[in-house]
Amino acid sequence: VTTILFVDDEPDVLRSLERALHRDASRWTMVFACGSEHALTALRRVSFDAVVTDIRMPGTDGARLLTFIRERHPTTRRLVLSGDVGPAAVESLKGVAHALLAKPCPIYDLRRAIEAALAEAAA
Amino acid sequence: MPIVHADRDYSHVMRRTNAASAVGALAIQVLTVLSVSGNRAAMAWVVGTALLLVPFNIFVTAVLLPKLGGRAEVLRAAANVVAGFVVGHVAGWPLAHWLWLPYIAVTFDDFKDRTIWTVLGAACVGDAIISISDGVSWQIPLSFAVAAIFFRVITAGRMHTIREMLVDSHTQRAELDEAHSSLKRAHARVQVENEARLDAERDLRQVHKLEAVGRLAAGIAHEINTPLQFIMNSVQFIEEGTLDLLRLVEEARPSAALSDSDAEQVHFLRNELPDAIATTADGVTRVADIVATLKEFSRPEHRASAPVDVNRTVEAALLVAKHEYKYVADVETRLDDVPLVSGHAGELTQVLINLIVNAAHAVADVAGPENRRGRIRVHTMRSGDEVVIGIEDSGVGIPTENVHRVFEPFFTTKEPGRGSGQGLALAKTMVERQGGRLLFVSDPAIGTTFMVRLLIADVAARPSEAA
Repeated sequence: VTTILFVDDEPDVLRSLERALHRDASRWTMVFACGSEHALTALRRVSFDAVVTDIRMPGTDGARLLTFIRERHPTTRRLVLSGDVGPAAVESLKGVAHALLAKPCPIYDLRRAIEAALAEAAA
Repeated sequence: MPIVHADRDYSHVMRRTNAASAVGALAIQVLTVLSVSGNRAAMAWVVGTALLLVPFNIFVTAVLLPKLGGRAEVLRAAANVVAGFVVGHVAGWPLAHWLWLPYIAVTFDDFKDRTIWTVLGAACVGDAIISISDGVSWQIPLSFAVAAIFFRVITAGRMHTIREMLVDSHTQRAELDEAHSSLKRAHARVQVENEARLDAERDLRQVHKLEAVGRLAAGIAHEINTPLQFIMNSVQFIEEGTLDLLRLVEEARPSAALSDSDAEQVHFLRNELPDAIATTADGVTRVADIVATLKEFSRPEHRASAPVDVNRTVEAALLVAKHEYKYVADVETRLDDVPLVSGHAGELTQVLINLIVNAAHAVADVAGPENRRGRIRVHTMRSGDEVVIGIEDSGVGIPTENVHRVFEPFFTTKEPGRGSGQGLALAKTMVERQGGRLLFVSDPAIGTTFMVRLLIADVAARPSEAA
């Protein structure tokens, strides 16, 4: 089964994602981590097929989280869903993230991006 | 140096000097009276002169001279000669023949006319012959003639000085005029420069304002975009959930089982809810767009600029903006075989889309109730070192009072939802970021033309043969 981890420090974002993606629950097992600390806890125990994370978060930020994942779980597809995808962010995420999505991102775009990332991994 | 305005200035001074001369002549007569006291004929001449000849002289000088010039002088000379002649012969005081001679010599100071001198000379000679035949010694006419010449020389010298003074003052005035007008020119130049400086300052302020807006937007973008994300997600969820719910309601309760008003309510909700949700989603997208647009203002200038094919960019922009103009305007394109320009294709496309959408809005505003179709002309051409992209519409035009505010951020004349007033400000920022210029001309009677001027890329300095 395909597992996906969503990381955001904003519980409303996570809850709304969970709701909006409820139809995908049959094909994806989705874990929602509020903040990077929770995500790291989860990542130490299991690996995921894909991670979708915010960038600006207290404590470990998204870039460092993705760097950790790249080392610990190199096969995990790394996606960014951030409200601030400026040139500086793009620069810092080069080689760390497979895809960058700007908030607000419509659900169908997000879904398509995840599907594309998973398909790339499979290929 | 042009001569003094003789008609006016000169005669003006003449009148005054002549008045002085008349006083001098009167003094001669007073002296004569003193020297011949007891001679009744002489007294009669002096009194007659004082009562008639002097007022007449003043009249001629003040009134006739400005109008008649030299002819007035002849009149005066004739009057003086006749007066002297009459007194000399009729009253039997021969000196009166000659008293007029120095008198005229003193007062006639602008005698240039030869015929006048001829007349006077003839009068003198005739008078001398009559006087001598009357028994007057020849020394008398001679001494008066010498005195007259002497006076004449003095008067001529005086007039020469006056004339020079007049010329001088005229020269000075001309120099003053010249200095004055050059001052005026300098002042006008300073004003023009001042205006240019003010314009530049206004531009700079605008740039700073735009940058501040951009920085602010970039700063709050994250704060705005995060809630927008969960609003968007939730709207999506609500949409799906609502549709599911409506379907379930319909399946679970066939419309027959519902009361009329309930059935109506379900019908209403089924029609309105999806629309309300779509509107909400649209609103979220629009807010996100505004934030994204504002952030553009703060983007640094140094972006990789590459040679851009202007014509392809124009075609792309026309394709993207098609839904905005296809119902309101016919588009004509005239794309010259222009060289590549230096710029950023993505940004240029965005600028052109913006201008085309504006043109479509302007055209739609004059369509009227009968939906008259307007015209949008897009052309590209080379102009010196630049390529010009012109977007010309047959729309409403920009009123004169708004011309200065067109590129001001947040300035809009469109109703809410149709434009937030950033489009042109951003377009200008983007064009200038690519080293180009964005200009426009507008006439409310004809429409508006926006021109994007971009520098030809160095690598393609020569016009390419193959487009």
